[in-house]
Amino acid sequence: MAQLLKLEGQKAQRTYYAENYDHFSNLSEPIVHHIFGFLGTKDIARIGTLSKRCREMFISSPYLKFASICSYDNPLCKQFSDYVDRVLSLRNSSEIRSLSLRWVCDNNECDVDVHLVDKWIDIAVRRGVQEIEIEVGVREDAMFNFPNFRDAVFKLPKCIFISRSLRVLKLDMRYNRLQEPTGALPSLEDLSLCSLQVSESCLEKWVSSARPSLKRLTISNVQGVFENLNIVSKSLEELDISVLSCKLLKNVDISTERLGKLCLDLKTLFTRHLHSMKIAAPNLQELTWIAGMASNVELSEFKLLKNATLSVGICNDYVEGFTIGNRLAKLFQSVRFVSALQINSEVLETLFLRHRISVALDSLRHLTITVECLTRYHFSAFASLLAGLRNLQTLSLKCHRENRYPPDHSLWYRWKAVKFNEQHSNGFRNLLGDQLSMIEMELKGKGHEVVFFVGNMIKAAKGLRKITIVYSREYYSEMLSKMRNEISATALLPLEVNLVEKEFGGYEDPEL
Amino acid sequence: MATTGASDGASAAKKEGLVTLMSGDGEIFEVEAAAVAALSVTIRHAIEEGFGDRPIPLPIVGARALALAVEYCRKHHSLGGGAGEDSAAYDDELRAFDHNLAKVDRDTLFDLIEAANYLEIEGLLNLMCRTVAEMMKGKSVEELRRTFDVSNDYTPEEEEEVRREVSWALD
Repeated sequence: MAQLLKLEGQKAQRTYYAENYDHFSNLSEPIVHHIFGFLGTKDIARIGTLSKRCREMFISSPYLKFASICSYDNPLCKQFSDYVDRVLSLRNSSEIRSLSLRWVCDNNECDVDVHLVDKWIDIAVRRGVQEIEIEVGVREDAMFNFPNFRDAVFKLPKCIFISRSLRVLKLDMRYNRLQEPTGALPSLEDLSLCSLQVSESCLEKWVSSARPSLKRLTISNVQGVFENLNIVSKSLEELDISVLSCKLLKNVDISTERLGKLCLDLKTLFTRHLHSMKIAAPNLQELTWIAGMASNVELSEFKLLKNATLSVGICNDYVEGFTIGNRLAKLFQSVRFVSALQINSEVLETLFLRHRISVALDSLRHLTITVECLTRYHFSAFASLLAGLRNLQTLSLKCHRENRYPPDHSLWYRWKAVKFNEQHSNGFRNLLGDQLSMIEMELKGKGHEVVFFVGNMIKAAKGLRKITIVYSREYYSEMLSKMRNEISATALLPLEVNLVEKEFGGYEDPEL
Repeated sequence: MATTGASDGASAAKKEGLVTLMSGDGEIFEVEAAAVAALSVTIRHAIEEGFGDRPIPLPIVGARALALAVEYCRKHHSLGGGAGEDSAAYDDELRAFDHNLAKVDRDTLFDLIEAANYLEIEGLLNLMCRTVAEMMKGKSVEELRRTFDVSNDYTPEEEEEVRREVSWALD
């Protein structure tokens, strides 16, 4: 405040500039460095050549970002490494906050000089670097061109393990092998290990090397020959595991007291081989489960859970389908305190087919269901599930049709659906409580039985006040007039209906 | 000149929930304290320290930039930060507002960067810095010099050397 008072009363600041006033060069260095943060390597390098002042600001930037992809047509490795080496050796002792280095060589003629990478990381560590992001790798077939190709494989330099300021370490090894850590990482909070080969013990050593402080851990695109994936940490708050290629994986064991956010995406794994999945995370608030169900599922009660996404791959025709119900029941038992839930159509169908699963989700306020194509059979499953959700306020349906063929419901499912309808032959009027007040639907592609669904929903949910339908253009004529007629015929109370046209990205089959 | 919140003089009676700001060129603004304090760290601190009835002086912020910054605070205070049921609609409105704000002329753009930096309005600083970055993306050295009026103070020999160093980035 002193600084403010001192300047009080000074007036007539510059408001008008000379015609060719150089605003950029007159910005303070921190602001220029902030602008650099939004730019790529080449743009920043070009700006560094504009004037002496620009070069100064460029060399002094605490946020360093270098990226080069070298190819056979455009070999750049030599020029790139000379440039990075020069910029880093010109630096004085000023602080380096972050170093981002992406150096990919897909050209057999040159090679990524891993010793230079060591040197650069060493420079950054000596200047107190807090964040290091590295994507360095040699193409596997290129490796054999080196007389001693093991030397060409990037290993994390030892100097990283003497750093006391490093908070973030993101490694993308281009599927090279990750070496074991050679020391501790006592200040590390955020560790990301991507696109690499790793052994069971090596992975565990990495997690435990950052033991006292690790808050976020990301493991993705990992290849390895191991049976157990154990993550044990007292400090971890966020864990993200996705795309594992570990054919032998049998046991997943996650034990993390403070974990608030867990994303487990094992859809690339053949989960029928998974023997056990144990998760002890009593403080979990957000869960994303994109995986099958192992034969032995042990989950702690997630009493603080707010958001959950359960996208379980289930084959309901398969013999295993009979046991999957019990496993799914365990999952629902653990997530029963959730207030916002998203499930896929397979989970919905299994819940419907195996009514032994009692789903008492009394805290649930918002439910989102994703289906490929909305059919008449779905309505029975929706109604049966929703009838048990006493406090549900909003229902959101995402029908994103990618496939032109109609969905293939099993005979069993169709039979159950027809039976359910017969049981309610007097119509669905007031089947659901009056809490449900809002329905949102997103319809990508054509052919959704939306008029049938909305008509019955209006009858079943007496508290319904608002329906929003987001649809793609080609669906417009098919749906709209029928929808208006259906709504005016069934709605007893005033109902707000919003129709929103949206362009869905991605491929849409014109013949659909 | 200032379109929002400017009043004729500092003598206006202090109204409840309002705070008075004085731009570097001496213009007085009366604005809702809650809105500016929520977005601007500098003004929040000034209010906490208790400027009483005196206007808070903002010496390096011009009236035009201050008017726009205050408008930014108001808009983001009233629409942003709420996890209300209409947050998606609010997001769209805020995006449109930011998009329009970023269309200002170059003098004002840089004034707003200085203002946002001084007032510590993070969102505004990011918005304006990103705008400058977008103007720089993909431009050649000559285009950059022309667009931003940066004069070349290298001798031809020096420039030759600097350009050789980054030859891979110049194509």
